[in-house]
Amino acid sequence: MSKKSRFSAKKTAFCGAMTAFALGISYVEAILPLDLGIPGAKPGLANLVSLFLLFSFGPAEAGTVLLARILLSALLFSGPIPLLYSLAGGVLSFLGMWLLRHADRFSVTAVSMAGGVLHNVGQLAVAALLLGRATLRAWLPYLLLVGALTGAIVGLLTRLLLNRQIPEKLGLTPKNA
Amino acid sequence: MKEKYPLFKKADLLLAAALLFAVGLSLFFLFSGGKTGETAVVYLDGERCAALPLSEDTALEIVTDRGRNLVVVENGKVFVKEADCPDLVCVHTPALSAGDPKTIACLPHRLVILLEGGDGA
Repeated sequence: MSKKSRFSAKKTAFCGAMTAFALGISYVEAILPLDLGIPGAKPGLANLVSLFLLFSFGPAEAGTVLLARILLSALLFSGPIPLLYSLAGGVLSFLGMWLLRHADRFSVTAVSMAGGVLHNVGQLAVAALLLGRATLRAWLPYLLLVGALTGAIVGLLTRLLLNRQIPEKLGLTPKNA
Repeated sequence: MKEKYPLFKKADLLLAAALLFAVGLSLFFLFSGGKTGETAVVYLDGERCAALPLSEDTALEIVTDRGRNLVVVENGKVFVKEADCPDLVCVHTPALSAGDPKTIACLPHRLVILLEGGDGA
Protein backbone atom coordinates (compact mmCIF):
# COMPACT_ATOMS: atom_id res chain seq x y z
CA MET A 1 0.00 0.00 0.00
CA SER A 2 1.37 3.42 -0.86
CA LYS A 3 1.83 6.09 1.77
CA LYS A 4 -0.74 8.27 0.06
CA SER A 5 -3.61 5.84 0.33
CA ARG A 6 -3.22 5.47 4.09
CA PHE A 7 -5.09 8.62 4.88
CA SER A 8 -7.42 8.96 1.93
CA ALA A 9 -10.26 11.47 2.03
CA LYS A 10 -12.69 8.64 2.60
CA LYS A 11 -10.78 7.27 5.52
CA THR A 12 -10.25 10.71 7.03
CA ALA A 13 -14.01 11.25 6.89
CA PHE A 14 -14.57 7.84 8.48
CA CYS A 15 -12.14 8.66 11.31
CA GLY A 16 -13.88 12.00 11.80
CA ALA A 17 -17.21 10.26 12.16
CA MET A 18 -15.63 7.81 14.61
CA THR A 19 -14.29 10.74 16.68
CA ALA A 20 -17.77 12.25 16.83
CA PHE A 21 -19.20 8.87 17.82
CA ALA A 22 -16.63 8.41 20.60
CA LEU A 23 -17.22 11.97 21.83
CA GLY A 24 -20.96 11.29 21.97
CA ILE A 25 -20.41 8.15 24.03
CA SER A 26 -18.08 10.00 26.44
CA TYR A 27 -20.68 12.71 26.91
CA VAL A 28 -23.54 10.30 27.61
CA GLU A 29 -21.35 8.45 30.12
CA ALA A 30 -20.47 11.72 31.84
CA ILE A 31 -24.10 12.84 32.27
CA LEU A 32 -25.54 9.41 33.07
CA PRO A 33 -23.34 8.02 35.85
CA LEU A 34 -23.62 4.27 36.47
CA ASP A 35 -22.98 2.87 39.91
CA LEU A 36 -20.15 0.38 39.44
CA GLY A 37 -19.24 0.30 43.12
CA ILE A 38 -16.47 2.83 42.65
CA PRO A 39 -17.30 6.51 42.81
CA GLY A 40 -16.77 8.10 39.40
CA ALA A 41 -16.08 4.86 37.50
CA LYS A 42 -17.46 4.64 33.98
CA PRO A 43 -17.96 1.71 31.61
CA GLY A 44 -15.56 3.25 29.08
CA LEU A 45 -17.64 2.40 26.04
CA ALA A 46 -15.72 4.99 24.01
CA ASN A 47 -12.84 2.53 24.01
CA LEU A 48 -14.95 0.54 21.56
CA VAL A 49 -13.93 3.07 18.92
CA SER A 50 -10.21 2.92 19.77
CA LEU A 51 -10.24 -0.88 19.70
CA PHE A 52 -12.20 -1.05 16.50
CA LEU A 53 -9.79 1.30 14.74
CA LEU A 54 -6.74 -0.39 16.24
CA PHE A 55 -7.83 -3.77 14.91
CA SER A 56 -9.25 -2.77 11.55
CA PHE A 57 -6.72 -0.05 10.62
CA GLY A 58 -3.79 0.48 12.96
CA PRO A 59 -2.21 2.49 15.78
CA ALA A 60 -1.98 5.75 13.79
CA GLU A 61 -5.72 5.93 13.13
CA ALA A 62 -6.71 4.68 16.58
CA GLY A 63 -4.26 6.98 18.37
CA THR A 64 -5.28 10.09 16.43
CA VAL A 65 -8.97 9.53 17.09
CA LEU A 66 -8.31 8.77 20.76
CA LEU A 67 -6.29 11.97 21.29
CA ALA A 68 -8.86 14.05 19.41
CA ARG A 69 -11.64 12.59 21.52
CA ILE A 70 -9.82 13.20 24.83
CA LEU A 71 -8.86 16.79 23.97
CA LEU A 72 -12.29 17.70 22.59
CA SER A 73 -14.03 16.12 25.55
CA ALA A 74 -11.93 18.17 27.98
CA LEU A 75 -12.50 21.34 25.97
CA LEU A 76 -16.27 20.84 25.67
CA PHE A 77 -17.32 19.09 28.86
CA SER A 78 -14.79 18.60 31.61
CA GLY A 79 -11.74 20.89 31.96
CA PRO A 80 -8.02 20.72 32.75
CA ILE A 81 -7.88 18.45 35.83
CA PRO A 82 -10.13 15.73 34.35
CA LEU A 83 -8.02 16.05 31.19
CA LEU A 84 -4.95 14.92 33.15
CA TYR A 85 -6.79 11.83 34.32
CA SER A 86 -8.24 10.90 30.96
CA LEU A 87 -4.89 11.48 29.24
CA ALA A 88 -3.02 9.29 31.71
CA GLY A 89 -5.64 6.55 31.47
CA GLY A 90 -6.08 6.85 27.72
CA VAL A 91 -2.39 6.92 26.79
CA LEU A 92 -1.39 4.05 29.10
CA SER A 93 -4.28 1.89 27.97
CA PHE A 94 -3.62 2.70 24.31
CA LEU A 95 0.07 1.80 24.54
CA GLY A 96 -0.78 -1.48 26.22
CA MET A 97 -3.45 -2.39 23.67
CA TRP A 98 -1.14 -1.44 20.81
CA LEU A 99 1.57 -3.72 22.16
CA LEU A 100 -0.83 -6.64 22.63
CA ARG A 101 -2.42 -6.05 19.24
CA HIS A 102 1.03 -6.00 17.67
CA ALA A 103 1.87 -9.34 19.31
CA ASP A 104 -1.13 -10.69 17.37
CA ARG A 105 -1.69 -13.57 19.76
CA PHE A 106 -4.49 -12.28 21.95
CA SER A 107 -8.24 -12.09 21.37
CA VAL A 108 -10.05 -8.76 21.06
CA THR A 109 -11.67 -9.39 24.44
CA ALA A 110 -8.33 -9.93 26.16
CA VAL A 111 -6.79 -6.82 24.58
CA SER A 112 -9.82 -4.82 25.66
CA MET A 113 -9.66 -6.11 29.22
CA ALA A 114 -5.99 -5.20 29.44
CA GLY A 115 -6.93 -1.76 28.11
CA GLY A 116 -9.62 -1.33 30.76
CA VAL A 117 -7.28 -2.35 33.56
CA LEU A 118 -4.43 -0.13 32.34
CA HIS A 119 -6.81 2.80 31.95
CA ASN A 120 -7.73 2.57 35.62
CA VAL A 121 -4.11 2.07 36.66
CA GLY A 122 -3.13 5.25 34.78
CA GLN A 123 -5.90 7.26 36.40
CA LEU A 124 -5.10 5.95 39.85
CA ALA A 125 -1.44 6.85 39.33
CA VAL A 126 -2.42 10.45 38.63
CA ALA A 127 -4.71 10.42 41.66
CA ALA A 128 -1.84 9.17 43.80
CA LEU A 129 0.42 11.94 42.44
CA LEU A 130 -2.12 14.72 42.97
CA LEU A 131 -3.73 13.53 46.17
CA GLY A 132 -1.13 11.47 47.97
CA ARG A 133 -0.25 7.80 48.12
CA ALA A 134 -2.87 6.83 50.69
CA THR A 135 -5.66 7.09 48.12
CA LEU A 136 -4.06 4.34 46.12
CA ARG A 137 -4.06 1.31 48.37
CA ALA A 138 -7.76 0.90 49.06
CA TRP A 139 -9.04 1.38 45.53
CA LEU A 140 -6.51 -0.63 43.52
CA PRO A 141 -8.12 -4.11 43.78
CA TYR A 142 -11.54 -2.68 42.88
CA LEU A 143 -10.16 -0.71 39.98
CA LEU A 144 -8.34 -3.72 38.55
CA LEU A 145 -11.47 -5.88 38.69
CA VAL A 146 -13.83 -3.22 37.40
CA GLY A 147 -11.39 -2.39 34.59
CA ALA A 148 -11.31 -6.05 33.56
CA LEU A 149 -15.10 -6.31 33.71
CA THR A 150 -15.86 -3.19 31.68
CA GLY A 151 -13.02 -4.10 29.31
CA ALA A 152 -14.59 -7.52 28.74
CA ILE A 153 -17.97 -5.99 27.88
CA VAL A 154 -16.41 -3.47 25.51
CA GLY A 155 -14.26 -6.21 23.97
CA LEU A 156 -17.23 -8.47 23.27
CA LEU A 157 -19.10 -5.60 21.61
CA THR A 158 -16.06 -4.63 19.55
CA ARG A 159 -15.62 -8.21 18.37
CA LEU A 160 -19.21 -8.27 17.09
CA LEU A 161 -18.52 -5.04 15.24
CA LEU A 162 -15.20 -6.26 13.81
CA ASN A 163 -16.68 -9.47 12.47
CA ARG A 164 -19.10 -7.39 10.38
CA GLN A 165 -16.19 -6.15 8.25
CA ILE A 166 -17.52 -2.61 8.08
CA PRO A 167 -14.39 -0.93 6.63
CA GLU A 168 -14.24 -3.54 3.88
CA LYS A 169 -17.87 -2.92 2.96
CA LEU A 170 -17.30 0.83 2.90
CA GLY A 171 -14.43 0.33 0.46
CA LEU A 172 -11.77 1.39 2.95
CA THR A 173 -8.73 -0.81 2.60
CA PRO A 174 -7.53 -1.76 6.06
CA LYS A 175 -3.87 -2.34 6.62
CA ASN A 176 -4.33 -5.97 7.60
CA ALA A 177 -6.97 -6.91 5.03
CA MET B 1 -16.71 -18.65 6.84
CA LYS B 2 -14.23 -18.74 9.67
CA GLU B 3 -14.45 -15.69 11.88
CA LYS B 4 -11.48 -13.39 11.62
CA TYR B 5 -11.68 -12.45 15.29
CA PRO B 6 -12.15 -15.48 17.54
CA LEU B 7 -13.69 -15.10 20.98
CA PHE B 8 -10.73 -16.60 22.73
CA LYS B 9 -7.09 -17.34 21.98
CA LYS B 10 -4.74 -19.51 23.97
CA ALA B 11 -2.40 -16.64 24.83
CA ASP B 12 -5.31 -14.93 26.65
CA LEU B 13 -4.63 -17.24 29.58
CA LEU B 14 -1.33 -15.44 30.06
CA LEU B 15 -3.13 -12.12 30.51
CA ALA B 16 -5.70 -13.71 32.81
CA ALA B 17 -2.88 -15.03 34.99
CA ALA B 18 -1.26 -11.58 35.05
CA LEU B 19 -4.56 -10.03 36.11
CA LEU B 20 -5.10 -12.54 38.92
CA PHE B 21 -1.56 -11.95 40.12
CA ALA B 22 -2.07 -8.16 40.13
CA VAL B 23 -5.38 -8.44 41.99
CA GLY B 24 -3.82 -10.77 44.54
CA LEU B 25 -0.89 -8.44 45.05
CA SER B 26 -3.13 -5.42 45.50
CA LEU B 27 -5.31 -7.31 47.99
CA PHE B 28 -2.19 -8.29 49.89
CA PHE B 29 -1.13 -4.64 50.13
CA LEU B 30 -4.63 -3.66 51.18
CA PHE B 31 -4.83 -6.16 54.03
CA SER B 32 -1.21 -5.91 55.13
CA GLY B 33 -1.73 -2.21 55.80
CA GLY B 34 -3.60 -2.72 59.05
CA LYS B 35 -6.80 -1.09 60.21
CA THR B 36 -7.47 2.59 59.86
CA GLY B 37 -8.48 4.56 62.90
CA GLU B 38 -11.30 6.67 64.18
CA THR B 39 -10.24 10.10 63.06
CA ALA B 40 -11.30 11.49 59.70
CA VAL B 41 -8.49 13.59 58.30
CA VAL B 42 -9.10 16.05 55.50
CA TYR B 43 -6.29 16.73 53.04
CA LEU B 44 -6.22 19.62 50.60
CA ASP B 45 -3.57 19.49 47.86
CA GLY B 46 -1.92 16.66 49.78
CA GLU B 47 -1.61 18.83 52.91
CA ARG B 48 -3.34 17.87 56.12
CA CYS B 49 -5.90 20.57 56.88
CA ALA B 50 -8.36 19.20 59.46
CA ALA B 51 -8.93 16.22 61.74
CA LEU B 52 -12.42 15.23 62.88
CA PRO B 53 -12.96 12.46 65.44
CA LEU B 54 -15.73 10.09 64.32
CA SER B 55 -17.09 9.96 67.88
CA GLU B 56 -18.38 13.52 67.64
CA ASP B 57 -21.09 14.69 65.24
CA THR B 58 -19.78 17.74 63.38
CA ALA B 59 -19.98 19.58 60.10
CA LEU B 60 -17.06 21.35 58.48
CA GLU B 61 -17.30 23.58 55.47
CA ILE B 62 -14.15 23.69 53.38
CA VAL B 63 -13.88 26.61 51.00
CA THR B 64 -10.98 27.21 48.65
CA ASP B 65 -10.66 29.19 45.44
CA ARG B 66 -11.43 25.94 43.61
CA GLY B 67 -14.76 25.45 45.37
CA ARG B 68 -16.64 24.31 48.41
CA ASN B 69 -17.24 20.97 50.17
CA LEU B 70 -19.35 20.33 53.24
CA VAL B 71 -17.83 17.48 55.27
CA VAL B 72 -20.16 15.94 57.85
CA VAL B 73 -19.51 13.47 60.68
CA GLU B 74 -22.70 11.77 61.86
CA ASN B 75 -23.27 8.55 63.87
CA GLY B 76 -19.62 7.56 63.61
CA LYS B 77 -19.45 8.01 59.84
CA VAL B 78 -17.89 10.68 57.67
CA PHE B 79 -19.21 11.80 54.28
CA VAL B 80 -19.41 14.82 52.02
CA LYS B 81 -22.92 16.23 52.20
CA GLU B 82 -22.70 19.01 49.66
CA ALA B 83 -20.19 20.27 47.11
CA ASP B 84 -20.14 22.58 44.15
CA CYS B 85 -17.82 20.48 41.99
CA PRO B 86 -19.18 19.47 38.58
CA ASP B 87 -19.18 15.68 38.98
CA LEU B 88 -20.28 15.32 42.65
CA VAL B 89 -18.32 12.08 42.92
CA CYS B 90 -17.38 12.97 46.53
CA VAL B 91 -21.03 13.45 47.50
CA HIS B 92 -21.99 10.09 45.99
CA THR B 93 -19.14 8.18 47.65
CA PRO B 94 -20.48 6.00 50.48
CA ALA B 95 -19.74 7.20 54.03
CA LEU B 96 -16.65 5.84 55.80
CA SER B 97 -16.80 4.34 59.27
CA ALA B 98 -13.87 3.43 61.53
CA GLY B 99 -11.51 0.84 60.04
CA ASP B 100 -12.50 1.47 56.43
CA PRO B 101 -9.37 1.63 54.25
CA LYS B 102 -11.21 3.50 51.49
CA THR B 103 -11.13 7.23 50.93
CA ILE B 104 -13.43 9.99 49.78
CA ALA B 105 -11.87 12.15 47.10
CA CYS B 106 -13.01 15.28 45.31
CA LEU B 107 -10.62 15.46 42.38
CA PRO B 108 -11.68 18.88 41.03
CA HIS B 109 -11.11 20.46 44.46
CA ARG B 110 -8.08 18.27 45.28
CA LEU B 111 -9.65 17.21 48.54
CA VAL B 112 -9.22 13.80 50.14
CA ILE B 113 -10.71 12.40 53.33
CA LEU B 114 -9.20 9.35 54.95
CA LEU B 115 -9.27 7.69 58.32
CA GLU B 116 -6.21 7.76 60.55
CA GLY B 117 -5.16 6.85 64.04
CA GLY B 118 -5.29 3.05 63.78
CA ASP B 119 -2.33 0.72 63.59
CA GLY B 120 -2.18 1.10 59.81
CA ALA B 121 -2.80 4.72 58.80
